[in-house]
Amino acid sequence: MMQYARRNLALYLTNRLNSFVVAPAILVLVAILTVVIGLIIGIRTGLPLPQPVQEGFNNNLSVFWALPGFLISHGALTANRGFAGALAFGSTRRNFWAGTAMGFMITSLAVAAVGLVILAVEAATGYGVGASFLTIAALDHGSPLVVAMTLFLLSLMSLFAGMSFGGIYRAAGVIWTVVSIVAVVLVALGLIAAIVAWPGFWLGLASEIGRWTVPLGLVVATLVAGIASRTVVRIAEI
Amino acid sequence: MSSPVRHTDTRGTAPGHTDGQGIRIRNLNKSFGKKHVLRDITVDFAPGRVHGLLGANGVGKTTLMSVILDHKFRSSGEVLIDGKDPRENARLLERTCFIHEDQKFHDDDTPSSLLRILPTFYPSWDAELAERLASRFKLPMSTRTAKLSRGQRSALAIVIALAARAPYTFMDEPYLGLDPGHRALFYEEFARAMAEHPRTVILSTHLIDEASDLLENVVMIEDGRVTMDADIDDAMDSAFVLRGLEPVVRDIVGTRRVLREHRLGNILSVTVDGTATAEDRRRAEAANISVEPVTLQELVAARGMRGTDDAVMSS
Repeated sequence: MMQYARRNLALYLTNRLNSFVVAPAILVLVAILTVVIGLIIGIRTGLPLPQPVQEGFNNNLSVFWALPGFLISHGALTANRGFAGALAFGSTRRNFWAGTAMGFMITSLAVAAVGLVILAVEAATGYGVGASFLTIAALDHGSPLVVAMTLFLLSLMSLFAGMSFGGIYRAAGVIWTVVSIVAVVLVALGLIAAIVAWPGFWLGLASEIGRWTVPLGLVVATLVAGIASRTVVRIAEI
Repeated sequence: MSSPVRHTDTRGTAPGHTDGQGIRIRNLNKSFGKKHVLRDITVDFAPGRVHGLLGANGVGKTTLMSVILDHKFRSSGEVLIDGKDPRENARLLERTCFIHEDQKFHDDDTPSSLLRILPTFYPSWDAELAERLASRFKLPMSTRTAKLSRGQRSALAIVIALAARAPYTFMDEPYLGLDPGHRALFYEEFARAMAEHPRTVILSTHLIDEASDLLENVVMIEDGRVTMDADIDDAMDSAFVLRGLEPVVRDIVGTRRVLREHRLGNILSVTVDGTATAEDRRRAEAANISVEPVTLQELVAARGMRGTDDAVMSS
């Protein structure tokens, strides 16, 4: 079983740029952008940034918006094109999913590893301006474990979500792909609406769970995306 | 509807890959919504032989190959490869290779990256052959597959299909976009690969006469049904062509079934079902009528593409 999955892992890793480089590079670029924004603010407030501005950076959620876009498209392309290649080369759907999932984990580990390096630089220097990219409230103010787990799970969830959309495209065509994307967006908007509508409940829940709130949420989302991707790949055709 | 020429192949012990049992298909159906693409297909592909899958555009050739390998799901029926159901059967499917005519690869894949990774999929991958074929086809190794021309994509598919040495190799219109020189190269390399490492090949093609020398068995599909399944020699012997003045030709044909006729002035050319007898030949010679063996192209046009006539005349 493993030998067949490993072939698909090797096929996935053939695209080294997308598998290893682009997502970590995006992370680095957004960190640089954060510093640039800090510098621009600093022109008016002076450097290092005053305490209230530095505290404002504690709510910087750019890491959560930066990664999913590329990773979802990468996951979708993998399911759409890589899947066709894998079947042509005699793979089963099950082994394609298993091998690709292993590849997704490696990509996610690469993102987490680069994130830890960025975190180390940030913790040691504050980039010289007092801006925060990963040392934020949502990541337990820069707890390495929480940062690493969050980046890993966020990446894995995005890749699986992309694979699900790519698989739906192969299994059911464009219309159902659009329907599924709209459904996911609606669910996300519903969650945001629920948070806005009942902030007390969510804040209470978050304070009870504590530092693991974000990683735990991502575990659930990753499991859902992983199961969805496996299900659609099993019914996809080329 | 012509009567199918059914041939029970007793030469399953052809040299080469004969350890398998071949492909057995029974009552296979495939529908896309309300459109029935494959209708009650029952056919065997004997091991170690080159099978030509012939028919007009859209009759279901690619779909049949896709369903055999579970790239598309069957609606009903049975497919067995080496006596086993191929669906999600990793041990079985690793013995297969099917590069589709419109094969999608990852946008960032290049011929070089694919040829580097394929030995992991195919234990009997012939790297030397892959290199030689890539060189002879002048394949741009570092160009992304999405940027390859139609002919270059066909060349890449040929390189993979031949170098993989998969016991069950499926080739879907393998020479699309190839110029005559590269098509000749394909025929040469294909024949060489089959001689050195025989395997079961299912090859769909439009260029029937060009490919006929490669084929050992022909399966013709018309409107989703198998209308002919025969050893190529038996198939070629299943009809003959009479050409000459119309009244004399009609007299010799008599009541026999005419599969196809073509008129040029007073000259009538008819493809007749069956075998020319000695008496036919004697009468034809006396009346200055030519009796010719049917070409595979003519046979397919007569039996399988009546009303469409869209097979590419390559002769």
